[in-house]
Amino acid sequence: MATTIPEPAPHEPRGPGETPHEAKPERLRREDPKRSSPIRNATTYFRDSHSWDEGAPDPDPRGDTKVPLSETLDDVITHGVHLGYKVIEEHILKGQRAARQLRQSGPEAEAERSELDAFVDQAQRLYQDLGTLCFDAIETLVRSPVLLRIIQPGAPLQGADPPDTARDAAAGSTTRLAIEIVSRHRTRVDLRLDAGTHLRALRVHALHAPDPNAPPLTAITFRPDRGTALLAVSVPDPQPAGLYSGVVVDAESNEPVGTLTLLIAGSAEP
Amino acid sequence: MATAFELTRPELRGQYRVTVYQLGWRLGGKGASGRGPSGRIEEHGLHVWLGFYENAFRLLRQCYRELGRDPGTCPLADWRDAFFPDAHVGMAGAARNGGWVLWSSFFPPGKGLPGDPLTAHNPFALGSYLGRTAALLRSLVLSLNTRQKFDPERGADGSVPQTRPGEDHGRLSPDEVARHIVRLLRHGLMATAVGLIEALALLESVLKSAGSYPRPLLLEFAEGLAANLRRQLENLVATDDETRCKLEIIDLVVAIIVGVIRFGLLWDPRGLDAINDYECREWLRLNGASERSLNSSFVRGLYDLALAYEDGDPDRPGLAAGQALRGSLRMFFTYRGSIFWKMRGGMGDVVFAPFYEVLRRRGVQFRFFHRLENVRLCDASRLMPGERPYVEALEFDVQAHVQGGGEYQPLVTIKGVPCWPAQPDFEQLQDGTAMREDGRDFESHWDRRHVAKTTLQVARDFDFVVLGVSVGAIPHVCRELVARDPRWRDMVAHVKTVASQACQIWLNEPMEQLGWDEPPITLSSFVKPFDTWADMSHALAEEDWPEPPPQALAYFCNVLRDPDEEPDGADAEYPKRRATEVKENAVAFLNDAIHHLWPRAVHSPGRFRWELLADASGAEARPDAGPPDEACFDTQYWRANVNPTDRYVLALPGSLQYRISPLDNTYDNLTIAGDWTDCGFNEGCVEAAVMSGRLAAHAIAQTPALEDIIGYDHP
Repeated sequence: MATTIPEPAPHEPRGPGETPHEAKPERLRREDPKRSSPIRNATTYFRDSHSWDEGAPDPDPRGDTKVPLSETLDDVITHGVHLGYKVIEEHILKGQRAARQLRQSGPEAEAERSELDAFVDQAQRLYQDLGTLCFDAIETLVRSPVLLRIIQPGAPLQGADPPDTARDAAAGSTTRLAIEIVSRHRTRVDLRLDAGTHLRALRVHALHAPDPNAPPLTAITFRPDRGTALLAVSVPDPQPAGLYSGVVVDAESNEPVGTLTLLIAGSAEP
Repeated sequence: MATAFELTRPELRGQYRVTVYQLGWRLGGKGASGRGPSGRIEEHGLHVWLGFYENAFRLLRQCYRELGRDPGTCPLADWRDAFFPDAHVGMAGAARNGGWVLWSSFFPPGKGLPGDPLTAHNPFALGSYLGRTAALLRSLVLSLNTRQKFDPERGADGSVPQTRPGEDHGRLSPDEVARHIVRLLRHGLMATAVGLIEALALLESVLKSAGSYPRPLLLEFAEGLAANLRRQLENLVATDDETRCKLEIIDLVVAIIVGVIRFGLLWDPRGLDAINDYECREWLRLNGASERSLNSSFVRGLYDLALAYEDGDPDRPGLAAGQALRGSLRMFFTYRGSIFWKMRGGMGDVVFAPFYEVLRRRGVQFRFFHRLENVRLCDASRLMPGERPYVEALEFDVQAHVQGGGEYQPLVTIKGVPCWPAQPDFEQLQDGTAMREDGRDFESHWDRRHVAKTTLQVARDFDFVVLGVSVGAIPHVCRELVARDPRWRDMVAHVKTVASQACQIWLNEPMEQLGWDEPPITLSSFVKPFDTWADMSHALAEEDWPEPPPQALAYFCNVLRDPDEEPDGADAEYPKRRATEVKENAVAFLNDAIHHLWPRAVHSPGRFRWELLADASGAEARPDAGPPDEACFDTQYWRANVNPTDRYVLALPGSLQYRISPLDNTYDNLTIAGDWTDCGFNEGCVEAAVMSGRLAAHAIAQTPALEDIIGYDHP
C-alpha cells in the first residue's frame, strides 16, 4: 500500500484520532491513460523511447550493449542448435552404450535387441518420409503464385484462379451472409472475419481436424446468391466428429481474412 | 516498490511524495525473507529470477547503481554480486522400469544481460518464435538418429551440406530461399539426413516470415508435417527414457507449431490471449499432442514451476494456454545471460533492502506495523455529475507504536549486508517485551491484535492510492469495492490463488557426498509433496554460522492443498496447524523420497540420516541423547504460506479476462499493483509484479511510457 501526494506532504497522523491536517480545497484526479491494455497483434514492437537510461551510461559496464537484440536472440538460437548437436552426440553415445549392454546381456535380451533395431530402422524411415513430405510441401510453395510474385516481382499470378467476374458483378458491396450446411451430423459453424472484409470473393481451401487421420473437409464454397454471399458447407456422412478449422482467404489476393471452424458432433443421423 | 521507485525518480524533481504503509516489520510480501539464527536465510519459498525478467532486472540494476555501495565493505555491492547465472534446469520423471529418471539440461548462455538497454528490434514476434521453435524441432529430430554419429560438418551420408546446420536461414531473402529449394529439388537431397535438416531450416525460415506466405499453405505444410511426424513417432519404440522424453518434446513442439497457425494466432489482434479460455493441456491435445506427452515430466515441470494447481490439488492442474505459451516462449527464447538467475542472499536482502535504502534516500516515508483494514469509497450520492467514484479514506489497524514515536529501523547487518530480520525488533516497539512474550505474529491474517486505529482522508492525507496488497487480501480490505463493483466482484471470484508450502534444510555434508553428482540445479516435476528442489548451497557463504558451517543447503517447495472449508477469521491456530502439516510432509519426504535425488542421505529408503541436519541454535547435543531422529527436523525451517497476502496467484483458463489493469481509471485516485493484475504478463512472478508497478506509476504520472515497459506489448 502506497499513497502519493504530488506536493510537499503534510505531517502524518501520530496517534489514534489525531487529525492535524487542514483539508485541501479539492482532491486531485488521475488523467485517463491513452490506452489500458497491451497491443497484442503482430505489428507490436517495443523500444526505449523515454527510458531513463537513455543517454546514461550502461548500468553494467560489463554488459555488451552494442549488439542488437535480434542478433543476441539469433545467437541464442544458434547456441541452442549447436547445443542440440552436443546433446545428440551424447545421446548417440548413450544409445551405443545401451546397445552394447543389450548385446552383452545374454539371450534373454534378444527381444529387446530387436526392439532397438526396429526403432533405429523406423527412425531412418522417418527421415526419408519427412524428406518426401518436405519435397512435396516446398514444391507446393514454389508453385504458389504469391510466392512467385514475391520472388519475381511483377510476375503475373499464373496458376491462380481467375477472379469470378460474375460473382464480382453480382456481389458488389455485399454485406449479408447466408450459411448453408448439408450435413446429417449436428454441426456448429463459427465464422470470424476481419473487420472490413468484403464478402464478394472469399475462399476456404480445407478444414482440418486435430486428428491427422480425419480427412479434411474440402466441400466449402463462398458464392454470391441473389445479392447475398452464401457459405455452403457439405459434410460427408462418414466424416468423424470433431473440431475442424481452416483459414478464410481473399480469393484474389490469397490474403487471410478470417477463420472458419466447424464443430461436428456425434455420428450421422439416419 | 516498483511504483514508488518510478514516482520518485530524480528526473521527476520531487513531483510526488510517497508514503508506504506496510503490514508488520518487513517489505516484500511473498518475496520477503528474514535472517534467523546464525544469520540463516529464511524465505517464503524458492525464488529464482528468469533471464527474461527485463523490467525487474532493469529496475534492480538502476537501484544498485544509485545505491553505490562500497564493495570494500559490502559483499553485495553490485547487482552482479547479488545474482549469478544458473544454466542448469532439471526435470524428474517416472522411469520405464520404476523409480525416477532425472533430466539435467544445460541452457547455453544468451548474449547480453537481463536489463541491458534494448534496441528498436522486436524479439517478441510470434513468427520469430515459431522459427526458433522449428529450429528446436530440427535439433530434436536430428537427435533421434542413433544409428550413427551425425557429423554436422559432413553429414551422415558423407556429403558436404551447402549450408551449415546451425545457419540461420531466416536471414535469407525469398530469392535465396527459392534457390535453396531448387537445389534441394534438383539434387534430391532431402532424402538424406542433411537434406532434411536443411529442409527443416527452410521451414524455420518460412515460419519466421509467415506473413509472406499464404495462411492456407502454411497450415497445410505444418499439418502435413505434423501428421507424418506423428504417424512415424507412434510406431517408434522408445528403448530408453532419454529417447522417450525427446519424442514427447517433439510431439509438443509440433502441436504448438500447428496450433499457432491453425488458431490464427499469428494474425489475431488478441495475440496469444485468444486461446486463454483453453487449458494449456487441452489446447495442446486439440492440436494433436498425445496423452503421453501431455503427462510428461516436461509439461508437469512447467506446471510445478508455476504452482498451477487449482486449490492446491495435484489432480487439478490449470494454466491458461495463451499465457502458458507466452511464458514458455519468453522463458526459452528471450532470456539473456542465463535462463535462471539465482540470488546469493535472501530475496529481502538482495532486492527489498536495496530498494528500501534507495527510497529512503529519496525521501519516501515508511510506516511499518500498519494493517490495511478498509478502502473506503466515497458516497456515490455525493458525486458531482460526471465525477468518477474515488477512494475517500483508508482505514488501518496500527499493530505497534515505535518507542519514542520515532521511525522504525527495520534492517540488521550480517557480514556487511543490510538484511531484514526474521522477527521484528521488539526492542524498538512500545511494550515490545510483552508483545514478544504474547507471541504476536504481525504477518498473520488471523492475529488481529493492534494498539490503535488510524484513518487517512483523501485530499488531507493523500491524493492517490496504489493498492499493492495481494489479490488474496482484496475481499478483506476492499469490501465496499467488491460489494459495489461487479468487475471487482468477478475479479475476486475468478482470479484464484493457491497456498504453498516450503522447507529449507541445512546439511552437514556436501551434495556430492550425498550422492548428487550433477552441478547445482533447480529441479522440478519431482514427487509430491515437494515437487521442486533447488540446491542453494551457494547462499551458505552469506549466512553467519559458527565453525564448522553446514556444507549444503536445499530449498523445497510446492502447492499446499486448501481445506474444503475456508478457515474462520477468528481461527488463530489455523496457520500453526498448516505449518505442522508442512513439517510432517517434509519429514515423510526426507524419509521416503529424497533418496531418489540423494541416495547416500538415507540409511535405507524410509530412513533418512537425521544427523545430517545442521542446528543453527548452536546447542550441544546432550550426552544422554539417543541417536538422531525426526526430532532433529525441528532445527530446520518450514512454513505454510496460507495468509491471504502470501498466497500465489494462478493463471487459470477462463480467468485472465477478469483481471483489472493498473491503468483502469474507474476510481480516479486509485490504481492497483501486483502480479495478480492485468499487467501484460499475467502469471505470478517478480516480472509481472514489476511490470504492474510500472503501469501503476504510469497511471498516476504518465511515466514510464508504456513502450518502455518491456514486453507489455507482446503478442
